[in-house]
Amino acid sequence: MLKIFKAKKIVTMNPRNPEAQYMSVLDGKIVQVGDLNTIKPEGKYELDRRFENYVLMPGLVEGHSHLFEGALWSKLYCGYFDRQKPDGTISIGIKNVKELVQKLKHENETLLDSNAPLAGWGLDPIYFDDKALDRKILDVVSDQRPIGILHASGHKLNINSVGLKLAGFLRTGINHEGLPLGDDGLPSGEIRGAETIALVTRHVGLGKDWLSGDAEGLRNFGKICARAGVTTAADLANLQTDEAVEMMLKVTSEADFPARIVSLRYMQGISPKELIPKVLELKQKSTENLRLGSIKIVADGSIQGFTARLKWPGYYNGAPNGMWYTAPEHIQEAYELALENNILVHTHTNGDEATELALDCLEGALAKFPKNDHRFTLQHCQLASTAQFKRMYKLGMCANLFSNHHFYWGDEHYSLTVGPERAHRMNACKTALQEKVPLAIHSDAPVTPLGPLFTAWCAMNRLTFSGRTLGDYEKINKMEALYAITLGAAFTLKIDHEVGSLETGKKADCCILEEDPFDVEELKFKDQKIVGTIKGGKPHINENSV
Amino acid sequence: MGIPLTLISGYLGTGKTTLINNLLRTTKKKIALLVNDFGDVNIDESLIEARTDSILSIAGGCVCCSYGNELIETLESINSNEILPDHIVLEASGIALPSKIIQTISLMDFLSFHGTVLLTDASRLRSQLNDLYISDTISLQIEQHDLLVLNKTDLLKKDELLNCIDTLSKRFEIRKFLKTVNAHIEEKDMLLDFAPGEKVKSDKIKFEKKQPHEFISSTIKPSGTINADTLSTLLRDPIYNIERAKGFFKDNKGELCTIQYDGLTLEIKKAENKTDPVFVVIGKKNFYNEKEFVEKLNSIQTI
Repeated sequence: MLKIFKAKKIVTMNPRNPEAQYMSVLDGKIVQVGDLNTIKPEGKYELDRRFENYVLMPGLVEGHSHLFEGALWSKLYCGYFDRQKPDGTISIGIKNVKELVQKLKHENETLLDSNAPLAGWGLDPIYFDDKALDRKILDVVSDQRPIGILHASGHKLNINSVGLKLAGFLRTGINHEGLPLGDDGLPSGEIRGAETIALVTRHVGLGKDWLSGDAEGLRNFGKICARAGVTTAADLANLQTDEAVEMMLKVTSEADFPARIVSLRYMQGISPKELIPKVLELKQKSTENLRLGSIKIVADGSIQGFTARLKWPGYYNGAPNGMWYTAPEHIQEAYELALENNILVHTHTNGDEATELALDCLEGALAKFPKNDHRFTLQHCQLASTAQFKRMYKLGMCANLFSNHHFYWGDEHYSLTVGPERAHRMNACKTALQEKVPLAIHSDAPVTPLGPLFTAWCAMNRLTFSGRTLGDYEKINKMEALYAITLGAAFTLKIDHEVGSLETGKKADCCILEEDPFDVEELKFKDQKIVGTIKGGKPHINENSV
Repeated sequence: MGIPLTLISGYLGTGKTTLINNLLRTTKKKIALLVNDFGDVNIDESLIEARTDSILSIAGGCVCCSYGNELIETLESINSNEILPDHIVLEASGIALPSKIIQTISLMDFLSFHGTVLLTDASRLRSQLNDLYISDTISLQIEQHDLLVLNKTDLLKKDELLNCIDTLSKRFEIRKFLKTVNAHIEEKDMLLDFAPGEKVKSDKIKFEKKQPHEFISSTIKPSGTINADTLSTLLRDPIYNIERAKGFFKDNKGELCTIQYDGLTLEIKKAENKTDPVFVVIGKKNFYNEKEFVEKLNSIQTI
């Protein structure tokens, strides 16, 4: 039966019909948005007035996140900032080593098996002002069970003596850049670099099983989406094993799963030639709730990890240039095959040299396989110059910029990684729009928390953690920011004809707010209360919010 | 001593997999092979099936420094296997830096690192060393070799090849050098006669360093007789990188012969004048494997 939602206001993001109070829905899709008189149908209908004191806007689209955000919560959150758990309660941030030890001790007592590992994540000691962390501090918590805590960046991990011993590294004579030594000649317990971290993770309960994610993790991810007002989230790098795809198909089709997932197949450990048929096959398995059949390529590393590929003059602190994560020839080959087979490709390029490479590869590939509307997207694309945005426009590329980065790492970028001038131009949303490049902005959750309204706040205000404004010129306005987290992100995923605005024929996917976002001050934009979401006409109300 | 491990590294298309296929065809060892199943050439499956006894395990997937997890787990599973291999051969991905992989290997005490075989494609090396995006990766890879292999030399003319070697010798400090066609390397050169080098070399690029061409010569005074065919094979063996040889020796009939070798043609004929048997062997510094050549030569003399 036809259902009509009544709201205090419906913000549609459709400029021809910007706001209304009523929205009629049939089979999960919008029939009309307007006044009750104008949309009133002939036959029977059900009027849902639950949201008559709330504002509906299009369900937010997170254009770059990882389902892994959901699985993280099975381990202890040890981050600096307060962070909302999937159940809606807040995990309080820890501000110094003392609070970390307290939190760990508490967890240590609640774990029953005295030898089971204690694992945590999200640690960010750059915000601590007390002494550096070493294994002896964690030994205070337990000398029986292994303890391992992954940093927020993912590039470091702290481990206790038991954990080091299990991994076979509690010995002298180690000479490895990833295992710095303490005064006693033994590894200090800080582990640096993804390769070295990989040597110890399974000894501290952060092994492969945890990383691959499970049904429960995905359900948690769905809850996190609903809390952030997100109804469509891109899962940006998934190896999409048969089991993983089966699990995702099952969970996303559950009636109370509140989000649509667009999962991109990660090109890793497979040649482009072998990847294409697999992706074409996966495309066939797509449903309304799980979209498959696109590719993610990672070209370089990260700026704060000094592994991104930068153009001259390179890193501000003189660190050597980063490394390629995928060979240039493979990027080119994948682009050609993808264009030929009508497959969407998103490419991670953090440094401007990586962005340049992607542009060169696409230019070459398009010369062989000319194609309109391919929507190849550069993800992060943090250091792109104006000239590069102009080329992106010419080549038909989209940009999904990492606006959250300013807040979390902007101060470091300013003083350490790229220096003041490039820190000001990082994630140049305004320039992208001026150069007519279709724009999205993202969180890269769990690297930063999922929350498009926070991401929009970052893009509008460009404030760092210390309160510095980075790149006043690159700020975008509220309308531009809201577009980027709805239709903008949907466009990069080739689903803007289905989601991203509230208008006839599109999916009835909404974000439910207490206030009209257009009435909220830019500086308070991140503090808006999100009541829940509607997916395909079905409301998902967050616990404790109504 | 742990299980010996040799790393096969080199950019895409330099012949890593071909080299491994060549090795599998001839080896009598039990090799555990970790391949990077990513290139245009695949490991010849027939070689594996035919040799299930000698090839312990094949691990697909990317052996790349950025994805350490699988590499470590696979290596550990080899170590926990009942039958240990005689040797582990690890193929790096085309963009991996050997130093990063070696660091990881150095943490595993059941392994004994036996060096990095670094392949380069002679036909593309010059352009790759000038490439905007990959020149630094290629340079770092070459710097981190223990045995540097210039492969596909048949695709170059002689002067191009000399230029290519010239470039290499001016830009890099070369430990051990081999020219090949189709990545054909003797097993002994690849896996055995191969002392581990410095485990971790600097990540800095040494573009400015220029090495003048220095030659080394060895004066050899053979007291016994030498089979002429054996001597000519020895002088031509690419592993020694001999540029020139000239002088006299007594062949296995005790007759005095002259020998003349210019790197391409080798001529042996009966000597016209009487003189003491003595000849000179010349090679470029860092390329010519003097010690091994002299040892080998001594071993083929009959007193």
